[in-house]
Amino acid sequence: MIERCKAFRAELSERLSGKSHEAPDLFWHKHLLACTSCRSLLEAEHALEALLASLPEPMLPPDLAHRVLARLERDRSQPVNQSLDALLELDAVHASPVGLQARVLQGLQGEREQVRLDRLLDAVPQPEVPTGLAERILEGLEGERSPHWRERLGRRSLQLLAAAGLLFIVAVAWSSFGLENRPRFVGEELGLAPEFAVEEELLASLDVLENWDILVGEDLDLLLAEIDPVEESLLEMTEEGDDD
Amino acid sequence: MTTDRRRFLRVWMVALGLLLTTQGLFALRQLDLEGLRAKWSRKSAAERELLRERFEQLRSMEPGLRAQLSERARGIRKAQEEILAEAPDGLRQELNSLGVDERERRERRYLRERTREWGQRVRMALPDRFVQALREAPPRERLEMFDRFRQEQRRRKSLKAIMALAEEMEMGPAEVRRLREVPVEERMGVLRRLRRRHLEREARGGRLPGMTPAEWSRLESLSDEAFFGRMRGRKLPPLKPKGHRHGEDEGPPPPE
Repeated sequence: MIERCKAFRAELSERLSGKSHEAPDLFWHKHLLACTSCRSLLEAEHALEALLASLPEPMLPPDLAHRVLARLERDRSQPVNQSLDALLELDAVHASPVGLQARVLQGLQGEREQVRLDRLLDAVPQPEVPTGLAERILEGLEGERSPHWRERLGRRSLQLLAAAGLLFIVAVAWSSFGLENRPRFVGEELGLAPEFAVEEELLASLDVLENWDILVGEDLDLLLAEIDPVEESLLEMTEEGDDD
Repeated sequence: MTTDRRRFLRVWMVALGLLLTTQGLFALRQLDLEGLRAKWSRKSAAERELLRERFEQLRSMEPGLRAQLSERARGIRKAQEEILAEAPDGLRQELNSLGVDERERRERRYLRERTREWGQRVRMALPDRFVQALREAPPRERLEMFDRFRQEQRRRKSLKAIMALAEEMEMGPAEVRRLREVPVEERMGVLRRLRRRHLEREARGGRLPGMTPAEWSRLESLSDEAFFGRMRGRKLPPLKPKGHRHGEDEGPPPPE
């Protein structure tokens, strides 16, 4: 017997003995659906209860009272009779309440109907899974889960091609734009010999050389022309004190 | 199209873009070098000799100073481009009718004339004693004096100039106070923006002679640097300290 059956039966025992009154939980119902043995056991218990409930109420023989009283009449002289009277009074107190049986049977009516419904459900044939269905489904999904080798190869090729292309472009950019070591002279970019580098440097400095007289301050007016109109407006402002 | 193919195409598009950009930049550099070679070839023997002498002096300088000269030369070149962009139509037609060599010489002469005019105007705004000191100083020392003077002017007057414009340009006092703490160059950037907006307002109000609304529209897309490069030849309204508004006690600025 597996552990779940043990747990189910322990819970069933508690319910039958009246120790547990809580509504059955999900485990209870799931196990009942899954386990035929426990389901049969529960049905048997329900059937037993229904049977017990359907039995006539135990009754004393109708003349028993007369016989007991006659017997007691005979033994009235004995001291023990007094205690017997007390016992008989107690017996009267513990008599079954009127209508108890009807109420119990009524309470069990719902249970009986549930048992009948369970039987009907059991009579419905269980759907049978064709043999090998799972394998066939997994086989059908195989293409989606792991692409065909051609597709895999195609994807890998695309990635390799993209990486190679990027590598090539970076290499071209590196060599053509001088990302590795920026040449000191313009001529070095063109792969010229060092003696040409001086010439190229001269060309690159033409802006400086052509404006040499301005830059080194040889011509005062040209030097002063570096001041822009905003600075000129500062010069024109009258001074009354420092900003800072 | 599968995701892999799309990814592959995207990678290739990026790679091709990178390749074209680098090759384009490389081609531009080559083109520039070819242009410089052609320019050199058009120089006369005397000009080449002069330039070679200057080049030897340049090479003898320390790298920091050479870099500084290159930076200033770039600034001068940009200013010259703006001067040429503002050249009158007559000169443009003349330049277009000339050959390459003659055109270069004519351009150079024109740039020198306009630059000298502007320098003379700046000289008039400088204190006489400072101009005299500059004249008497040797060139190297003259450069240092000039540089120190500019820095001092910027440091001492830039905030005052901002305050002169702030109220009119709707700049809050808190912002002006904040500018007191920022480096001078950043402050000068703010001053340039404010001054430009101020000049635009003046021009739209018809208070800037020689400027039509159409001309201002043409200047709108320029950077601040290029904008003031174009303004070099013009007479602009002076900045007045706070409380002294232009037009309150004097007429419009005199025509250029």
